[in-house]
Amino acid sequence: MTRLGRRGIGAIVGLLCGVLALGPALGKGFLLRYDLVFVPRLALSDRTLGVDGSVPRAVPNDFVVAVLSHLAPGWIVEKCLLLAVFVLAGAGVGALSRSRLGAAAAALVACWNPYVAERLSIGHWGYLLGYACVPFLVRAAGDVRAGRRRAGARLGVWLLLSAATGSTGAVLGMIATLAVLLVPSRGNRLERGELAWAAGVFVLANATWWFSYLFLAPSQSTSQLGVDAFMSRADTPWGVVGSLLTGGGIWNSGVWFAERSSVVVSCLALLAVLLCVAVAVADRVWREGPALGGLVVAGLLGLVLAAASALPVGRELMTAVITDLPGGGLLRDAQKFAGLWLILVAVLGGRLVERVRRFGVSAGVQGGVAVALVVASWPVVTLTGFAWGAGGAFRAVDYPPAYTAMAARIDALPAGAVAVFPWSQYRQYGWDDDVVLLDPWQRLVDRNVLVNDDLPLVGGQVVPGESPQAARITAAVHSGRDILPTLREQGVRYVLVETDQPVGAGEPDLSSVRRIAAEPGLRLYDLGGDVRGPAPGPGDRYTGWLLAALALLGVAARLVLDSLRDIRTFALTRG
Amino acid sequence: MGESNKKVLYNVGGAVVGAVLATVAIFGLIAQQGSVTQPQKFSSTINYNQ
Repeated sequence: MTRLGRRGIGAIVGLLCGVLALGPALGKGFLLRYDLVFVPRLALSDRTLGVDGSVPRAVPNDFVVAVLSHLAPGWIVEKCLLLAVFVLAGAGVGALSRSRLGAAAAALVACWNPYVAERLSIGHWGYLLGYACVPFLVRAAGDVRAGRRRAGARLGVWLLLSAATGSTGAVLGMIATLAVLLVPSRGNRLERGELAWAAGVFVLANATWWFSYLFLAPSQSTSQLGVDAFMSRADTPWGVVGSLLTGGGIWNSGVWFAERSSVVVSCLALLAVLLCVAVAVADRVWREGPALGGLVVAGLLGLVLAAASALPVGRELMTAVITDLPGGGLLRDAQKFAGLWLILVAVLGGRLVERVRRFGVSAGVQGGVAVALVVASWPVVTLTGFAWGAGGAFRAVDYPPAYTAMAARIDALPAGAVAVFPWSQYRQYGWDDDVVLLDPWQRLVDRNVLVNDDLPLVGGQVVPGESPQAARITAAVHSGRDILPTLREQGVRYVLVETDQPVGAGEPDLSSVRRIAAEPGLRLYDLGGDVRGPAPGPGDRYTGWLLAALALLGVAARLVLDSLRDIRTFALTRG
Repeated sequence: MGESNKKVLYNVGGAVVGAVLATVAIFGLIAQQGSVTQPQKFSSTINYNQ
């Protein structure tokens, strides 16, 4: 029987973590919470391609989901993608470890930490898949530095996969890749061609979102309010930096885990992380080659970026970058960069456990594994609330039949955009345990759906949205006048009212409007007449996708060329 | 330090670490269970961070 390697062990530990973390959410149905919105079948449309003129927030990951949900039901696609986060993260850090015990311990840290738990809880699955790609990119870039066969092609493949997870995942991956390629390392000279290759694949593969963002989306700068609202926060008694060191610190207190606020539990987590770092410093791990050296640089950079906006000097700097520079909005919600730090901590956690075992063996303890495994359990011990779907909070639910029937009805209607009321972005459905959820109608139907994209926060703050169309409707709703004419001006023909949602002030009076469908909790109205639809997008709006296709072709060509070169070398050495 | 002393130290240290981790795990579970609450107030606005 073939023994499992480090990568296999890491993958199995990751899978076990995924099953334990998702728990009841793995049943038939959808896990729907915050920004985690999957639907039975996501349409392939200009919206999923990010070329409809809206801000491309879920591009190209929504495209990936749309393609996959044509092959399997949406809930299966969701579960596979969520489990893939755990399996990939575990396998990736396992491959960066030196032993199978170290791989298991590293995988446990990578898959069971506040970063994964909080980002899963808020529904940022694309970030997490990007996080899971980081160790593979580190390994591939390290192999490029070492001049190993096919390493450049492998790096290209992982850059493509990382790009498919969305902008945040791609940027996390590129930071790690550049760090490994550029970090000084004795005996591992960098070929400039390989650096250009990595940069070229990254730029082309990610054109799906940057092209749309720069040339198609409305050019509004990020508001100061948004910078303040989304900066890292302390979810432990150890301040922002202490929280980030242990992988927490997300801005949204709604997804914090209760035990993190305990001095005892969070202190143990912090001590464990500091111990991992101390062992790494004692071993001078950054000298062990470009992969580890680069990961150290990337991890520290991620930590600095995540903490910067919460520190006095960094706060002004980050604010200026986010509000004034094109694309600076990527630095908003900077806690996401702590993912790089967590991958580093995972690898160092594996080494800590290896050291404990070595100490046991040197003391004459047979195997020395038992105590090492006890030490390896610290991630689970300090985050027990993540177990079994966050204590049952993660559940699988089905959309009520009324929703699927209404979606089919809307899709069959003549052209015209749909506006969803009450005019707010988030919902709480009784059938989804009243969990806060991004309105699902933009994904449930295959047409332009307008929702209020302002983000209301506890305390009365509202982070302005980015859709000019929605902003005009918001203004009309707030004034309480001319709501229906404004809707028509924005190309809206149909109004969908969710009657089971809390109603704010200024909702439109639809008593004189023809109701064309009614389902439990839903009413659909037709404003009538022909409405001016959105102007057709520019013919070159698919340029980003053409550039991404070039990246795909380039990587495929390099794979073929490397294979041919290997065959030729093999033939020459045999002949 | 002799090998037998090292072995005792390792085993005792391991047992202490295990006991501490088990205690903290129970502490964390209690903290998690104690945090489960039902929202009591109706609000006309659903906030992103509630």
